Amino acid sequence: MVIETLMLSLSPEELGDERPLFGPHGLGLDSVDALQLVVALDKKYGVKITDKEVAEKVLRNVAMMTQAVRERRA
Amino acid sequence: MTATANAPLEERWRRLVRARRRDLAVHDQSSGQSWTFAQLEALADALPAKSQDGLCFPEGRDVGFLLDVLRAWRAGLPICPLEANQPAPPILLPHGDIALLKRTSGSTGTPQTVAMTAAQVSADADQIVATMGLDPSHPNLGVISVCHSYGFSNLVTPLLLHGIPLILVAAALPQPVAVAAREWPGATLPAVPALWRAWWESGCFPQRIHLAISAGAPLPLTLEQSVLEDHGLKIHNFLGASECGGIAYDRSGSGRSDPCMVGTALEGVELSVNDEHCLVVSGPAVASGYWPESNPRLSAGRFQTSDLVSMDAEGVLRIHGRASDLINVAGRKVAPEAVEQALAAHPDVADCLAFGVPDRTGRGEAVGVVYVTRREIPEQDLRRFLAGRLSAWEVPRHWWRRPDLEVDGRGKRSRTAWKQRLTRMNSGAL
Repeated sequence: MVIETLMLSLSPEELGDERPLFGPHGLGLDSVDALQLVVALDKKYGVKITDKEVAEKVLRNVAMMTQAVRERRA
Repeated sequence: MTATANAPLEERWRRLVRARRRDLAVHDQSSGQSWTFAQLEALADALPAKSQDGLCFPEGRDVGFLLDVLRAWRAGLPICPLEANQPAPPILLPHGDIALLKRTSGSTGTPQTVAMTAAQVSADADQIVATMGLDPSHPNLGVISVCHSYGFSNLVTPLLLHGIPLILVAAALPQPVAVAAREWPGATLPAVPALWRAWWESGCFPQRIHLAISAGAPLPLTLEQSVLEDHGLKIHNFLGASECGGIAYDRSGSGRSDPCMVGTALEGVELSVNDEHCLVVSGPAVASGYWPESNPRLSAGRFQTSDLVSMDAEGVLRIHGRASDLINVAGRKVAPEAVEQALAAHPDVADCLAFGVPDRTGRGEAVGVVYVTRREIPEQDLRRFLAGRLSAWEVPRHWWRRPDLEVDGRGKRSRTAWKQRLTRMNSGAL
């Protein structure tokens, strides 16, 4: 979903589950990407992110997003 | 620096406070706190201005930013707004009557500083308020950065010089924005196309907005039409520049039919088209010049932009492209030279050219780079290398490795030729 939403030229293996998405040691995504991911998580999985602190936690990496989706489904 | 540089701004602020003491000035959604004009004045007066070598660098996006601006006005210090935690750039103290220094993307790869007087800052605020019909009964929702030209001119100076209340929204996420719009019905919401698109796609669109404005990047016609159809809200396209503030504005109440159309000149602004088909802006809000190195493109109340335009008999302005290579990523501009210099610093990169690539995710453009390396090196290593040298949004999103960078028929390396070649090749993926 991350690769598709942001149209990144990366394979899922290159992206990985634990790799930070933001910050200088991460994938280097920015605030516009964050907003697009928030919208995509809501539309595809019904995960609602309503504040900045939650966004920073859930969008840390793919593993955290996956966990948020699982919690939503539970 | 004398105390007179900011005096006109300080005087207008004091007059405003006398007239509006008990009225709401600022509300911060994150903390739930509100301040009247009198309270803002008292807080600002309680502490001295923060001076760094005779300059003040207000930073961030909370009420502290506004207080730093007011303190600097009182102390007669020029201000240079910064994002939170952004290091203060080395800037020589300007001489004369400069009140505001704005950092802007340089067309040669080096960021430039635009120097404005108090009169020019005032004129820009006056032109924007008059043209857009901003008034205190319609507060501004502050989602965009107040540190950059657009936010400073549409949110900060309308508040401090015209008394347009400012609601500081907690985040640009759909939910907080929708909540703010609900709690402050009839608000004005300036944003960029990427935000409008995200809010529209989210299904959690801000309702009861009195005036919607979009600037920073071209507003896609389909987005404008979709929002109008789905929500009955016209997003008004707005063109501005750090060098001269507001330029043109779409005043019409109906949707545009031409994606190139950006509206007509703001009140007090004169527009013309030069022999190279570039837009020239004249008026009292045009900055004094770049600082410290001047440039004839910006001087004597006149700014020659890099926008390729046409203007019809009614003064309707259309933008057809850019004469410069600046890359516009969701409203932020980066010079390709800046990306190239950063990448060329890698020991295994032999050559590279950067350019803007059309982007369908709502950013307008993304940075692309064609490059030559001395050995095989994974693209992610180069991305990681750049992440330590460029902002996240400046790091190329699209990478093409080539054995060499062909020259065009005139013997020059051409960003335009590579851009056309590669975006055509990849148009399916883009």
